[in-house]
Amino acid sequence: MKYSIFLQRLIGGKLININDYSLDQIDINQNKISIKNYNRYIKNYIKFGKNSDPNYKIINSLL
Amino acid sequence: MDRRLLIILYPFNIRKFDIERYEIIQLQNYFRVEIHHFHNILYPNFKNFYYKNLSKKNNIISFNSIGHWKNYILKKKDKNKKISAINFLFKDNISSINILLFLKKCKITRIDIFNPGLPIYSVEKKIFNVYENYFYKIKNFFFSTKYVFENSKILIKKFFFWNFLNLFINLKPDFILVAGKKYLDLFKKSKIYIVNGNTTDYSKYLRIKNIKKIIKDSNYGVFLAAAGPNFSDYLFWKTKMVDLYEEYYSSLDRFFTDLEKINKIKIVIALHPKSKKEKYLSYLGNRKGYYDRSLELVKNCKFVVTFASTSLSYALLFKKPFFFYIQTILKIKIQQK
Repeated sequence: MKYSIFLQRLIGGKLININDYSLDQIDINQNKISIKNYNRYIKNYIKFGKNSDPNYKIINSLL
Repeated sequence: MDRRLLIILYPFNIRKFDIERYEIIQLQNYFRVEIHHFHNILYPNFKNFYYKNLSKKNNIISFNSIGHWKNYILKKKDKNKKISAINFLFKDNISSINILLFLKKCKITRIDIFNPGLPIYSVEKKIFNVYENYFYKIKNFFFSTKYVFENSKILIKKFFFWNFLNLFINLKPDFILVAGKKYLDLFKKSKIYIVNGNTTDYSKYLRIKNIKKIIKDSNYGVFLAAAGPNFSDYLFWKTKMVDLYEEYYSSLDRFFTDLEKINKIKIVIALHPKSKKEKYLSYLGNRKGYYDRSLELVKNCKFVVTFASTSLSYALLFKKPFFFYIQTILKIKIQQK
């Protein structure tokens, strides 16, 4: 439970308690994305710099 | 020209999914690849959980003793001038340390990978304040005592084998492939050569040029499912989740029904690699399940629902909105076995 709260605070989006929510909370039109948060997350946890090679190419160039 | 021998050191039985995500087929274009797995030596108690969708490729070798493996490596060393290894072993027991030390002794170049694909609490300290941190720690202690105990044991082992032993013996890899700027700091002081890398999901995103549309219309939301039912990573902690099947999935099913009704869309399920391959999921209102199709599903969806899947990175890359969920009625009761 703690981890999904952690992710929601980091990325944005809606955090829903599936045992207690109102219908307007789950309307997708009310769920806006934050491009700034998304890009920050991608930079911090998904890729490294401007690298556009998949891992196998990186490993090949290394050895 | 004789190609370099690349050995993949893997702790568990290797699944088709692992072959795909670690790009072993692509690596075979450049190297002679062998996969050495040590399930029988390192984690025999996990054997029952790693038996589905296994790869049957003929370059996979299972070892039953470290001595057997060492002899095999010495023979390979005589025949091959160039040998390298990609290491996926955890440094949490004597046998894996023994394997890594032997690689050093044989002067085999080793690459480690650090690309968890999800953030860890310690690098995002500002997300929870001090009071929240204590609240969750105390709650975890009372509701998940066994988990906390088993996790602490692992952390102590890791500290001993990695930090403490490193003072006396050199266990460092020649290279470490790291994905994510935030994780750089963890390795900056280690004096290991850091290589800019990607998570396995992002690497797949870069690798697949034409992402197929597997559902004709785009009027759907994707649930990035966790492992289950009747299986969870909690099994690794020698614990089990009770009432999971009925309470947890029926709550999710109701939630999906409401999502479908309000947004006039259907929900499809991106199955977890540890889950059973099923076309229609009886435990989630007979909704359609897709195995190993998260990237394709997310690309064309309207939104994503997840608890904490690494595949959420696809949603970020394709700029999709999220629903994260929690539940309060069902306390995740983790019982002692």
